[in-house]
Amino acid sequence: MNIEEEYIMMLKIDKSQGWFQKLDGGYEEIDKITKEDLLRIMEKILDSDIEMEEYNEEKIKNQAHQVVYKSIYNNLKSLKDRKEEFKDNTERLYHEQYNKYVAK
Amino acid sequence: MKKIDLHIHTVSTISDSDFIFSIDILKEYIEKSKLDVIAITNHNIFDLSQFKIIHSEIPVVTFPGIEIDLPTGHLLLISDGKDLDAFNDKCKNVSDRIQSNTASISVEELKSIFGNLSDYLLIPHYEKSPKVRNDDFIKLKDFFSAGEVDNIKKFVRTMKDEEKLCPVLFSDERMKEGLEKFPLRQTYIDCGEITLNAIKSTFKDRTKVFLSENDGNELFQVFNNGQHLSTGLNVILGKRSSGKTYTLNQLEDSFSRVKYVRQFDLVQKDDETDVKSFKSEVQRKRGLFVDKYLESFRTMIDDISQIDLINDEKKLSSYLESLLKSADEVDRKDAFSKVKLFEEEEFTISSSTGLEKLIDSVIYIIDNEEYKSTIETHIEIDKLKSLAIDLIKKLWAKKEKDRNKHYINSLVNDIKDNLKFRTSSTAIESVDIFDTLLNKQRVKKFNTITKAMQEDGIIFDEPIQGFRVVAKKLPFKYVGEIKESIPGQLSFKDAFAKYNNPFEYLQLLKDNDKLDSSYYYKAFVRIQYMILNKDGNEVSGGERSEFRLLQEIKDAQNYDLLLLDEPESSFDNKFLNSDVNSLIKSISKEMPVVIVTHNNTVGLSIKPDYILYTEKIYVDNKTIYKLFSGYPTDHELVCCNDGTTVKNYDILLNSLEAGYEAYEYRGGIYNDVKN
Repeated sequence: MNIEEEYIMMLKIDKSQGWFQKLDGGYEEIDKITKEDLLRIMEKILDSDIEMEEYNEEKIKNQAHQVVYKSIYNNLKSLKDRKEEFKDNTERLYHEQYNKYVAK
Repeated sequence: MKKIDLHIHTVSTISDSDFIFSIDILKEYIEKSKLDVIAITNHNIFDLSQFKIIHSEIPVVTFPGIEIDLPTGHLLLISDGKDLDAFNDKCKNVSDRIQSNTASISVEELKSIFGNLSDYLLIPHYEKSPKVRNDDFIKLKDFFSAGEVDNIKKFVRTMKDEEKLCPVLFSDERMKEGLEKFPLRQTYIDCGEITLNAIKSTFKDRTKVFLSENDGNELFQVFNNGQHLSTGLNVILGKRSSGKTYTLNQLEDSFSRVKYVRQFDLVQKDDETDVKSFKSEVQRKRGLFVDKYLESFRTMIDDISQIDLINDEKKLSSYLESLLKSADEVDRKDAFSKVKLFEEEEFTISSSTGLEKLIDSVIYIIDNEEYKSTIETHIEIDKLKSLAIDLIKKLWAKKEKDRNKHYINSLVNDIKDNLKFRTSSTAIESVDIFDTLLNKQRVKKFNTITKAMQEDGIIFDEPIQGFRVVAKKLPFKYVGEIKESIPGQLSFKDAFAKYNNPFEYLQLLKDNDKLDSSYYYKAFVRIQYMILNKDGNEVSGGERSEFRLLQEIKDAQNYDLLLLDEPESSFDNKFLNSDVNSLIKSISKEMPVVIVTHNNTVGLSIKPDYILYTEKIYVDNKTIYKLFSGYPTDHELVCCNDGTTVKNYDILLNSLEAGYEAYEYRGGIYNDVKN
């Protein structure tokens, strides 16, 4: 089994361009990304183990892709780094109310 | 039998409101109350010259004393008066130390001033405010001969409890000019000679201490004319307009804390209004409980109200739009937009709340005394302390880092603003995706919790004397139900369409400017109160009145005297006989109860301890109300004003059975039917 099959690669660099994974598993150029795609990827980061290819200015020749890939990668990377914090926060969220009104 | 009042004030001190002492009033009080022994006990002072005058002019035994402020409460210290000068010197010492109405002396000071406390009669405020409590009480316990109480109910209750000090009831009255109504708080003691030591020994044997001269603790004096009442259950009988309610009103005036259930007070007047006011009354009494139940939901609503998902999405859109636009313009970059910082994004700053809570929790474990040994079996406290220190260090480091990030963010933003101003290129907007996602989670949880909370369920189910008060939670079914829960004339029609989606519903509530945000939580769940009868059905009009009566009687436990005027006016005999009578009977074991009645179910089935009979007569065109009284087994009831009597048998038959003939006639009918 190769490594690429174990993880879902949400952002990757290929053919000197930046790509993101679509809902159907195929890839789309990074400058075509929509708000919905972005939200979906963000939620996926918190839910499961996903991978993103690190931003590398040398590997992306398309300058527009450089700008978009870099910004999105940095934002998603920061979110990935804070995954544990997010989990803690979510678990703590309305804990008292949950126990009182739902758990009983 | 000797009647004593060992708590009398004759000097106006800083602890009293202003008054002018009158020796004539004192003489009159002693004479009318037929006292045998008194003690002069002023606040933290002994006035020797005044005492000498009182002693020489008063024909009864008078002891010198002082009422001392201890840190927790007041203490009566009474001397035998054999060495007045020495007592005066000691009291002066107390006066010197207590110069303001907040000052007091300690038990140690008391002992050092008065020496051997066994030489005195010591009586603390016991079931009376301000009480001598805690350490003060423990240190002086062996010297106390009795404890002062301030009403009949406490006297009877304390007397029954052998573990407690022997109770004494004293007037605590200021003998001032203009005093018209003399107090009736005195105590009888079965004591031969009147010396301080004899009184002390009498207190040690509580069977020799009474509320009345001839009737032990069964009766107590209630009016200045010598009229007594039972400390238990009293029934007032009499014809219509013979002065029964007048007597109850007089009793109400004589006591300070009276529960008075007036005639027809509880009768249903108008069905709809009655149901409404009844429910709101039940709701008011239990509202605090429901508020407490909904308190956390309210906190969650306050938090959720701050979330604006549409704005969150807008921010994400502007970020993406600006990003794509900036990428599109990448070839047209000028000197300003080429600056690295132009595309730089803000540092994200995470919240410290989690870490702070963690530190608090560790400290909470370290500080816990109650379960210290259990904690120490599992974790070494020193390790916990190191953990706390490490976490605190991490918090400090994070705070330091966050401060720097804040500083850099504002610096970068400032530079970006300057560059934006000079370039035609698009700057990338910043976005906090962490918060955006967290807000979505918040909304998700809010919807789950709210939906669960709206499900049918019982919040509390409280049994009360055969009835049950039930508070139910359930979803609103009609928009009108929401209007009933929230004050003001507001429309919820539009919002209600989204009631099944709590977050969207909240957004629509927020759009209603007239709705105060503090009421949002009330618009989510309906709270329904029900009073159920024995069969589990909602109560009828008559049962509502019954419930109220039982509640009023139960509430009487917080008072010193219960007065009930003709409860039969509103209730049927079955209810009176089964529920009311037993409740009244049990309350009368704790406190004096007086019932006016014409009804034999109440009058006799309840087995009263004392019977009073009122009669109205005219003397020289003046109306005079006469009051006769006696035990139910007495042949005659006696009027304490003039000694006249009436036959108990006649009174009972006339008042409760519509006379002898009617009683015989009814008896005949019952016999015929039976045979």
